[in-house]
Amino acid sequence: MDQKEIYEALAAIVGEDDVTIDPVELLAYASDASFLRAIPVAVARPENKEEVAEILKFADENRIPVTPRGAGTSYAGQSLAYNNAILIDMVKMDKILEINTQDRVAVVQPGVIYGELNKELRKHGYCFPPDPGSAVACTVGGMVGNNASGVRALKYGATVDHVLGLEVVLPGGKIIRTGGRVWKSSSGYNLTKLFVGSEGTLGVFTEIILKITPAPKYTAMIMPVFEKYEQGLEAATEIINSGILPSAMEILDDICIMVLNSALEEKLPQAGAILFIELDGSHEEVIKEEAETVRNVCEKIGVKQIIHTTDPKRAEELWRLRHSLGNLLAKVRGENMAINSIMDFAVPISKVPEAVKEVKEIAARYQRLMAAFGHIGDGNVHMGSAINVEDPKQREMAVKFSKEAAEIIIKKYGGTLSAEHGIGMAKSAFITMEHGDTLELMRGIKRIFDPNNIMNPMVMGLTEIPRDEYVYMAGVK
Amino acid sequence: MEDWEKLKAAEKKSLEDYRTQLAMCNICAFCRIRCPVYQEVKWESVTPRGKMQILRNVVKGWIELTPGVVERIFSCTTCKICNQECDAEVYPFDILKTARREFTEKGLGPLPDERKMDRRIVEYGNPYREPREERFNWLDVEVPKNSDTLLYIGCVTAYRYGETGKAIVELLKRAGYDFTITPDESCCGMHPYWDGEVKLTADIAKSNIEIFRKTGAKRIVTACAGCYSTFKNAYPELVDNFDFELVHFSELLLDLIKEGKIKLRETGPLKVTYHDPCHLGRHSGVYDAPRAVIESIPGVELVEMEHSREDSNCCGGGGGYFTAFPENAVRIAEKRVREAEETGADVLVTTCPLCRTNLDLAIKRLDSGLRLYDLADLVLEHLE
Repeated sequence: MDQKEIYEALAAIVGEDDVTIDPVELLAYASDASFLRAIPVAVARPENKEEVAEILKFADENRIPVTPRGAGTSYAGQSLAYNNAILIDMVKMDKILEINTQDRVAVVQPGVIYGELNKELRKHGYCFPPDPGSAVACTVGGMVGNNASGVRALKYGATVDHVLGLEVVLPGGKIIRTGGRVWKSSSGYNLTKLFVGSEGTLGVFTEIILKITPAPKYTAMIMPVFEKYEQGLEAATEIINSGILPSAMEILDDICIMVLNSALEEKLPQAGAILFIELDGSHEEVIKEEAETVRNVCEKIGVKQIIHTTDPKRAEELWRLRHSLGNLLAKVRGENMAINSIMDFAVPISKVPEAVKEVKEIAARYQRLMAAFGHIGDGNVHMGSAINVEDPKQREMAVKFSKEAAEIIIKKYGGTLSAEHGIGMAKSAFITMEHGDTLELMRGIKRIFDPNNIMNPMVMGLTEIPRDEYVYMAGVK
Repeated sequence: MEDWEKLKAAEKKSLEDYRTQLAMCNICAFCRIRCPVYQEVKWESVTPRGKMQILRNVVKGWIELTPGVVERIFSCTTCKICNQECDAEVYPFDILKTARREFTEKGLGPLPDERKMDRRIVEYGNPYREPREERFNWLDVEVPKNSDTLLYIGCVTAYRYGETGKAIVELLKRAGYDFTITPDESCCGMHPYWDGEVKLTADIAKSNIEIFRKTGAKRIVTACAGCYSTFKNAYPELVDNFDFELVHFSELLLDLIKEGKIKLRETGPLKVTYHDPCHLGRHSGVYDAPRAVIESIPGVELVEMEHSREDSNCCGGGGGYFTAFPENAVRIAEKRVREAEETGADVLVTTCPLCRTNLDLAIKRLDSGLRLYDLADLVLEHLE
């Protein structure tokens, strides 16, 4: 089927105003926050589940791949339409359908912006806590598709811990519901959780039921400053060992402190590491006690300075910039593109210091500057480096480097390739390393839901990608 | 990082000079959340990040400069909020401004309706095809031919809001403030400037400066945010001899109120909210004076909208967007009116007749109960 025929079929479903094959428009949809690029065959903007169902029926009948997309903030290419796929932009399904504080649920359409949802929830004294770096821009549908999380996952869990039920359109157009608005269920396979993090490979969400959490009454922000990065890592591990559970615990290395300072009027001290620790709760006294525990742990490790911020505006500014650290790092990478393959691994909490040290050593061997930051409290580290993707030699090098690092993370430390960004296409070449034979089981699950393999087929290693192809995908446009 | 600081400081004249910044766009989408055009159109190609991707492909020579590319780049209200939303410091707005100039220089821009408007401005000295001699039809008092201060009224007020023109003049007269108005006043050139018509705007600037000099003025006062921004930001860039002191009318009003030359009275309790015009606020840094004037009126309570000052939402009318995409522009204004309504205000005040035109259309369309005032009208109504 040619592009024009696809356009006409989609226009018959969503209307001419909500479908495009304009090459300039398609180009604008060819990117996400990863280094990958893929131009869709068409983009459609459905307004309701019926239209989504019609699109998936048409695509399934004609064996045209489909990728659903929220805000396109993904770091691994999972919201791109590779192989002439149809991109479904969920932007028009952006309504908050219900906030029910008695049942403690929120019902939303997938295109709702996370930050907007939380703004509404806070009016009722509640929140949806995972808090990814892209909070101001990402959609709830994207978060569910990706099982996103962020700085507050340490205490409150990832997106998966908050999704109670889903309405999903399956390839072929069947509309199903999973879970519901109950907080617990032991009834059969938990298909809701299966869909969370499925990266658009099983269907398209059209309604999401979320568990909502009371917003904390009090918060405190403590920033211990360490001479050496390793001291910061040790402090983070010891704080977890001390028995308290901060709502967030982040680490920044010297590169990250430098880029953060480039955006701050009131600078942070330049050091080997700074921890951003947030304590929250309903009782101020408890938070004070926990802050004292943090202080004692850090002093034992030889902390250089402890900054205690009680000014909510200063804390807000620091968290906003911490969220945006990935963006700020553009000032270091310049024209180079970030290597996304190992940028959000997780290892068991106790193994973080060793794993980070080892990955940094590998980076040094490849002469890569490596920034290291992330959600140190839950073992999730972001390690970023960049290459000139237009240089085939550097692309080859990036694949080798990523593979070596992935082996250490998975095989030596028992970690995972992706704690929160997803596998997408960027990490799919290494997924067998992590899942081995069970990947075949995952492929089998996909076949049940999507026998014609139309749903985002190139992600999560579900379709085998030849290695050359992978390098090609790290292409330039 | 050091390289970045150097790169940021370097003078950039062509799109090619922005090669690195274009590559630095993280596609993070932070910019699209606040982009007024995207929030109306909801297609990726009009987001600043979408435009950065398109321009990166242009600079790399991967795509042709088609009319579709040009249309996207001119789909912008020049509100400048993308610059402050971009933590990566890509400065999308600066890049778009350069792209507009480059496309126009190549004869590919601006968009057809914008080009027609620019030609009208050259021919008539105003965007409305109105006769030059009717510019000050509303002016019913004598003003001296020469003064240290030139009151520059601007096309929109002169031809569409004569009552406001009268209010401005009356306030200054009542304050005993010496000023002149030149009958030769002509368009400031804002529209062609944002259309990338650099030479044309420079010619307009030169001609205007000559006209201004004839009045003997050393200072220019204007109540139009667009004209103010053009004089403040564009003229010094385009010509060497723009050496006038520039004052926005709100700043002058505040001084006159503080000096006791304008005395205000209460006319009953009134809740007022203030819309920051992008070209007075983000482009020129004037946020306090209009607010201070409003707050100095007895009985008036100033209530802020959710987005105000640096964070203000655009009305949708700037940068030629109203000319090329009038329907979208009014829809953007409707959102701003809704935001104003949410404050519970009785009156929406602005200091830009361009914003006023667009907001006025939106208020009518929404059948909103809000009353829309220029700051001068509000002050005149409360004059002792």
